[in-house]
Amino acid sequence: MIVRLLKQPQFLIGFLFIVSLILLSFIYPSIMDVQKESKFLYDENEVIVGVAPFSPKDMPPFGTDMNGKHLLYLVLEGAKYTILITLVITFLRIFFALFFSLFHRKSKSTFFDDIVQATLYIPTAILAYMFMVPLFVKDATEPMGMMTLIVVQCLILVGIGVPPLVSTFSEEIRSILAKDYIVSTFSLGSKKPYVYYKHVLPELSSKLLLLFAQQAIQTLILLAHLGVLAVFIGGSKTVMMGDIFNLTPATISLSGEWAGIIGQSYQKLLTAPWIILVPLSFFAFTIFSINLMIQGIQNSLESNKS
Amino acid sequence: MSNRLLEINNLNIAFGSGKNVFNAVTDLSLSVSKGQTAALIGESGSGKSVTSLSVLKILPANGRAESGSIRFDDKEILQMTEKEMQKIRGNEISMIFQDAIASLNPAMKVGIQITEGLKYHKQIAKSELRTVALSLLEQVGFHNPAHIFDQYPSQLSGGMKQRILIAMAISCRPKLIIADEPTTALDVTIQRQVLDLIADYKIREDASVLMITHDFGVVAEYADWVYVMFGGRIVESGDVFTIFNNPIHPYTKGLIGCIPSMESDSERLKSVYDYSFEEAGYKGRKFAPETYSMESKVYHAPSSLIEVEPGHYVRLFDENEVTIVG
Amino acid sequence: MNFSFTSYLKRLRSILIGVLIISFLPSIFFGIAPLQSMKLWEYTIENRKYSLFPDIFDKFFYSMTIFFTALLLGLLVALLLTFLATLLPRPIKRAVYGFLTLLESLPDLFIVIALQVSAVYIFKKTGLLIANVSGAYDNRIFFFPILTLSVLPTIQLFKITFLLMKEEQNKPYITVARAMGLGNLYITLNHVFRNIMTSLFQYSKTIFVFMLSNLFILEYVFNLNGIMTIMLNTQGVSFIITVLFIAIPFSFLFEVMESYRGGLNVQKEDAA
Repeated sequence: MIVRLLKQPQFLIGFLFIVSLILLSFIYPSIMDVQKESKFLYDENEVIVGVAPFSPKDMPPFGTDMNGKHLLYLVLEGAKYTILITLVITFLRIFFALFFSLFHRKSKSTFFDDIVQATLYIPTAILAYMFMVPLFVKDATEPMGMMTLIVVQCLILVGIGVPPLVSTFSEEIRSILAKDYIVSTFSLGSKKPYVYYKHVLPELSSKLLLLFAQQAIQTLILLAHLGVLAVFIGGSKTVMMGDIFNLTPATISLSGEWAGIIGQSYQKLLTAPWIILVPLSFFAFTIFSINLMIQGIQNSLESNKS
Repeated sequence: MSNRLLEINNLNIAFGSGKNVFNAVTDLSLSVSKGQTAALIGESGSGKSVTSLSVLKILPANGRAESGSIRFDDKEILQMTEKEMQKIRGNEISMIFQDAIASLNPAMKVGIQITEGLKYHKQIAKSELRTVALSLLEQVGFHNPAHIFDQYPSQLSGGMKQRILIAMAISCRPKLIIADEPTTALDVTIQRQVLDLIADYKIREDASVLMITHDFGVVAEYADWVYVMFGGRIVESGDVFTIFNNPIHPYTKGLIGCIPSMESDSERLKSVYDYSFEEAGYKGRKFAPETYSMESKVYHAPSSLIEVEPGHYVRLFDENEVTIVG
Repeated sequence: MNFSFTSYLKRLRSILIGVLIISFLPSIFFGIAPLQSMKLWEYTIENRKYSLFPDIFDKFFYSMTIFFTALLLGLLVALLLTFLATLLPRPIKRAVYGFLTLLESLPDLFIVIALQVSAVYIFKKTGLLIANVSGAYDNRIFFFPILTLSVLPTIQLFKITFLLMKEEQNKPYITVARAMGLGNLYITLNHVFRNIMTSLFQYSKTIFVFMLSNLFILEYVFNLNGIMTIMLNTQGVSFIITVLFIAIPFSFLFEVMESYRGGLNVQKEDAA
């Protein structure tokens, strides 16, 4: 399966892009000696001519954020967190959903059905927001540490995705069970666990990869939305910013993932749009490469059939 | 002006391009005379349907007629522009397809689909279209045409759909009907009904029919002239009596031998394969091609149709190519 | 068409139970009761309290106007583009498809923000105000939100119709129509498009749900005061009411569509 996938050029391109992004994210800040900050811009006479944020024109390639941190550095630094968090959340979603749909089918799971029916009309971002806000309130009263916070937040994001997936899986399993060859297997006297293990799971597994990729895209988009809503993975702290005469409180994301970069500068959208647009474009590119991988998976599934 | 309505000479049809060229039809010649039924018989994949599509110039996008000529009513079809072809399709030559279930638009009332060709080819007032369609439906044997007119294809049975297709095909009174295995998708009881409808039309309008089939029973009953096709080539042709009484090519013998007989009490039904190892040659020359099963590779050495008796042609390898064998 | 009212009521009951569970889960998990200071029919935006009724009707209709106008616009443009795409030669068609995948990868947030920023940029450069890009509380803007919201559905619908088109054109009945001597234009308009519209129906639910999520981001970024803004800022009972405001009409639409589709499927099974 994997060998065949790697033969699909589209899959390979998308895969390489994501892998190299992660590798670069681990290597770039530590090995290369990069200039991470430039708060002020001087002319030849060492006179300050500009204060952060700098636009991509002044500070190529991507400009800096409000504190003069280079966006290229920020984005690369954040890539590993963003992508790894996404992968973990997606994996857990699929895992739990599969678990529930395999063992929860007998009761016809109206509980999940009801929740799925309702979540159709509530945007996922709002749903996540509803759970995140009480969490922050609780964190403010009794601090729980950054790692715990991240774990709980990830669990929330996992939990939100599970019910719709369970209904997808149940439907998929139902349609597989309705196929003629399964019926004939049953008629030949095989037991249920055997059929599940021998027929249902293998047939599901080809779709699993596809679902994984689609879920990863949805998770990425959800993260971006949450960033705009100022809900940061790993929590935030409020610091005073600006010069002495003009102190303004600003929230700063602690984990450094892309959504955090977006969220902490969201208010500056119209004065320094590049701070938002650069991480957003990275979101877009990551999603595009996942889409390419999906295309590759679909191609190989189709060639598999024929 | 000859008596031949449709005349195909040395037609070659190929699919794909570059290294993946596949010759679907090679050096095919056949003709259909006015008021006659010619049958093109062969197994699936032998190039029958492709031949019929090429007559209307509606080959799939990756296929093309490479050389040869197709003359209809003394006009060269392969040279015609798309505009001129549109006037011929449906109007002078029409086609009945094998898969009636998929051949009707599922989202359109069948009555409307029947009138489409009329609307396009004949100057008929809109108000009259329905009347014409109803009479067509009656011609193809529906007793309640007004009811059928408003049905969607999914509400009709396979045989009914095939009759709708026939109604569509005859709506503009074409001179030639190409019936591409019109009975394949139908159950045996309906087959005869459908074939009779086509035969009736032929007699009523003095039209010609090119019948494409793999069923020798159909050929025996309805055809005047027979072309046996294998692997994109015609292997034997002649009028229906000659072919049945004196088949020479082993493939033809095989096909005829496949028809179960009431008299013989053999234990096993015969298949074409039983004849394929027949090594006998004809007058010192070997039959082309050598094997008669699509699963094995066909040996395409130069071969030609030889007239063994007046009007009866058999494909044999060229003399210098293969020498014979008992 | 065999719409059944009881099955609609069943669906509504299921939604209601679901919303109830969802709205109380956070307090169960974190042990925090919904804000005590809040009255049942109120919601807060930036620490200012507003009353839910009768505001919600007004906002609901505002949001829905944007939603459906954008959907309609998207559908029209997508069909037009598909029609134009059929006229293109083969290699360009493949390029168009690849380009669509690229466009489809843009997150809704990206499109909303990029359009807003570029409108402001154009305004700064040329002084030409294309449209108002941000709503104030009692200043309603329509043009720009509709335009923005319609971008992604247009791309999605275009991609779907494009694929359906390719599929339809290879179906036997198209060959039959061609064999009857019908013109290409006639076949495309009368046969292919008609069938695409029928197939498009089954994607409508996905697109609706997707657009609802877009609508939320749009309202947030453009600072529009619509139904989604209320949904974000309410808890408890008023949250449930807000969700029901969206759920009741939309689930009705879904029910009607599914019953229509069910009808078509039954016909197909009869044929088989």
